[in-house]
Amino acid sequence: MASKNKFLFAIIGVVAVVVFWIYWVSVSSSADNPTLVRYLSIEELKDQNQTSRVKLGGIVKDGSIVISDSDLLDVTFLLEQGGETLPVRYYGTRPDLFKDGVEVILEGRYEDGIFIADQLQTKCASRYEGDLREENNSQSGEL
Amino acid sequence: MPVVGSVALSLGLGFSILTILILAFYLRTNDYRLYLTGQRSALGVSVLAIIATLVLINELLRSNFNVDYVAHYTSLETPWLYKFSALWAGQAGSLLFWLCILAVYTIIVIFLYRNRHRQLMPWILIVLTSVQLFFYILINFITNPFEPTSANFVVANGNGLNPLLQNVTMALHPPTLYLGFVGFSIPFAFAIAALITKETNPLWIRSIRRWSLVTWLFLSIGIILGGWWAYQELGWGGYWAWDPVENASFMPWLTATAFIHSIMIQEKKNMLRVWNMVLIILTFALSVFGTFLTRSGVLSSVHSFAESPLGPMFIDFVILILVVSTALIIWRLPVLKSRKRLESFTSRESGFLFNNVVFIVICFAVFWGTIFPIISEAVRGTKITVGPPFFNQVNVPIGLLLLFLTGVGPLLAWRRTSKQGFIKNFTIPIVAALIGLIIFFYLGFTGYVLVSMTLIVFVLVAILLEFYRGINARRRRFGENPAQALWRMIRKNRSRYGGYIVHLGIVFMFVGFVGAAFNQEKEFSLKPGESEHVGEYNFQLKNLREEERLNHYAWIADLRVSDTHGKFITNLHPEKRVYFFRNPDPDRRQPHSELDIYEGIIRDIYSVFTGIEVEKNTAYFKIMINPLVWWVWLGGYVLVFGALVSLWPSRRTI
Amino acid sequence: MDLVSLLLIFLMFVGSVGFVIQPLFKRSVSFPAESDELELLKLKKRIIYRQIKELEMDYEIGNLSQDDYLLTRNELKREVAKVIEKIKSYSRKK
Repeated sequence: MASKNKFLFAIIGVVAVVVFWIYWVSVSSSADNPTLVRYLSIEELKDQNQTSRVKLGGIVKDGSIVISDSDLLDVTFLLEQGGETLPVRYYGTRPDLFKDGVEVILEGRYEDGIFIADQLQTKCASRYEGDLREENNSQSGEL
Repeated sequence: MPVVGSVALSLGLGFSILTILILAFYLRTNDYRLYLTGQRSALGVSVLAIIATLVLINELLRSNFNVDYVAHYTSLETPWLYKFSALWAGQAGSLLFWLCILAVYTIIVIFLYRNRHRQLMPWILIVLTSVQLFFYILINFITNPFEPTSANFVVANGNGLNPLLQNVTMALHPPTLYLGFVGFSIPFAFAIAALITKETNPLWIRSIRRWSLVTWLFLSIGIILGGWWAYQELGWGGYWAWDPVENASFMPWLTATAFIHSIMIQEKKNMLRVWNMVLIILTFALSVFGTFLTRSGVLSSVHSFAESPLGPMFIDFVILILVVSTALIIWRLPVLKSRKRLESFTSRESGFLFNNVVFIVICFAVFWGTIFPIISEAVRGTKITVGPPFFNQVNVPIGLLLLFLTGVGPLLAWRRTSKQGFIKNFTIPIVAALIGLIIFFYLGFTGYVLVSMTLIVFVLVAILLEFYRGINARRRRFGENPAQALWRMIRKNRSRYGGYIVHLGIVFMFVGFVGAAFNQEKEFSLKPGESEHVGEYNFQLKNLREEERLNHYAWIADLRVSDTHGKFITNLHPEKRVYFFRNPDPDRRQPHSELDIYEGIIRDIYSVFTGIEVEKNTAYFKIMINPLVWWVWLGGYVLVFGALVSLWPSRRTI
Repeated sequence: MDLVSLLLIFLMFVGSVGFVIQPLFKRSVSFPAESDELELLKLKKRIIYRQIKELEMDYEIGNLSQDDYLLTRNELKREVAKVIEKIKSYSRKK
């Protein structure tokens, strides 16, 4: 019996250590090591005046994309979500699908009324959604 | 024609219910003719699924846009290979494809074991047909791939497939993954059948060992191909992002890997029977769960999940699997418990046991990180996302522990290792690791990188030593030359040395993972003639060309890469493409960055053409220097080779 | 619905139903003679022999001390003797 207990204790010990480790990593989320990031709505962000690192989702407002004249990587646009809009600034390579009206997910910080994003992702679609009729009209004309 | 597919699906649904009833009736009456009928009915169910799949493939290749699925995922210009691969591009098609693979597996099972496993077979067929029934219900009532186009006009052309998916690797990645996912239905069916019939004889373990290994291999190839595709196409410079879709395939891989280790103990010692049952069931449940994660839309938001009944049905199915299996295991606990127990900590068995615990623990961590956002959104209303830093931070130390065990395991003898044996086996690897440690420390490496490199040396030496000793023993005994000895040694002990080769592959992969700690990245703009430094490399934009091609317009950058002394290394030609560039509506045009990578043993040079300002004649680039990525792919090849060595049939195995 | 489809559906239906119910018209048959028990014992024998071979190899390679080797080898030999005994008594019964 002793040997069986020995193994049981060893396994329980390993499991306990690891569960504690997972818990510790979860709670030790910090600015330079963001293991967990809150996903907020624009309204919540403005209300709480959240300055820690958060994620935001929304639609790029039509016609709001402004690309800097001096640097193509520097872009500002307005993010729409839940009836609110928020100015966003992003510096870096943008995904190919980034354009007006596209759904994006941002990660970054809210500073003085502007959201400074350092990560920008477009919702990845495995295909082109959309009205078949529209697609047809435009494409059949060419082919 | 599509109507033939629809009818095949309805017939299949009917026959699968019939099969279950007939076989249940057989179990009551024991009339062998009923069993034969049930068996044929199960065969019929499977053949009907295959017919439906063939019909859909036919519609896809013929571009019959009256079928909604065909119109959604292909267009006239889509090359035939991608028309074919559209079979698994969407929800309805991929579920049918899942069913089709299961059907093929079921047919193989029926033919292989038609005269064996007399007690188990009826139940195996009932379980497999029930799984098929579930998919038949989904396909018939929730997402039917033969649904006609809802438009009230003639569809002249379909939507087409995303250019990102028009890639050979991406065409191969889902089917290999599915072959793995679905493959675990077979061990699952065997396990459930064994539990119900109180089968204690280990013959069935023998039968499913090969199945598990084959499906494990498919799963591994699928995962590696996914990483390869991400690296070659997505342009963020990495191969693994702990994306929920990736995790969905990684979790069953972890439990399956644990299982193919611990099954050896059951085969040899008839121990760990309860534990192995748990692993089989867990792996199958995770495979279904993985299909659910990737196919139900739960990942984008809990709300989109609730809109379609597909998600809840999958969850119910997973819960059903878990509840029924758990109840069965508890019910059969007295039969399953083995009288034998592990003898010593320093034995191969206990090495396997701890390797199992570690695999399960990693699986749990990944599972937790994957579902935490979903749970937090459902329970608290705010979504808390779990990023790659979480997975990396949690899993790096556990992964290193696993690497350590990979080295230790083979050095331990079955049953027990005495102190002398222990010293004898461990001295050389430990000394080598210590020397490595000192050298790497002296070279300035610290932290996890230092630990990883030391462990890599340890495991590598341990494995090579094993080969060296085996060869030496044969040379002494049979007087063979080293090459002969190596060849015969592997041939006579395929599973053992195949396993070691797989371990070698894993070690190579770890070499690649360590390299990620030294990645460099820089974004900049260049006009033709200008140049920029990244790390020790110099990038000069020689020329900026444009070209109109069949289905896209491309800007091509000619980048000359040289080292700091100006010595030429390579030319890179990343492209910025625009698909559908003739479309009058700019929003419908689709830009795409075709990247170019210079691959090498030491490092990859990864270039992305991120943007262009035509008026200013300026191109924007993202350049990355990724050390040792090559080793990840090498490890992948070695792993596949090792698994094939283990699997290669020899005359004596059944 | 075109004629070809109709024909195919008809064939599919008749074919599968006929295929499935055909065994019911056979005269009573029984499961092919089974030798699961014997096969199992033989398998056990093979597995233990294999373990002995592997053990010998491990010893030759030098992964095992002599004490461990002899101890385990004797245990395995005792086990295989038991299995062989059972195989003999099984074939005597037949």
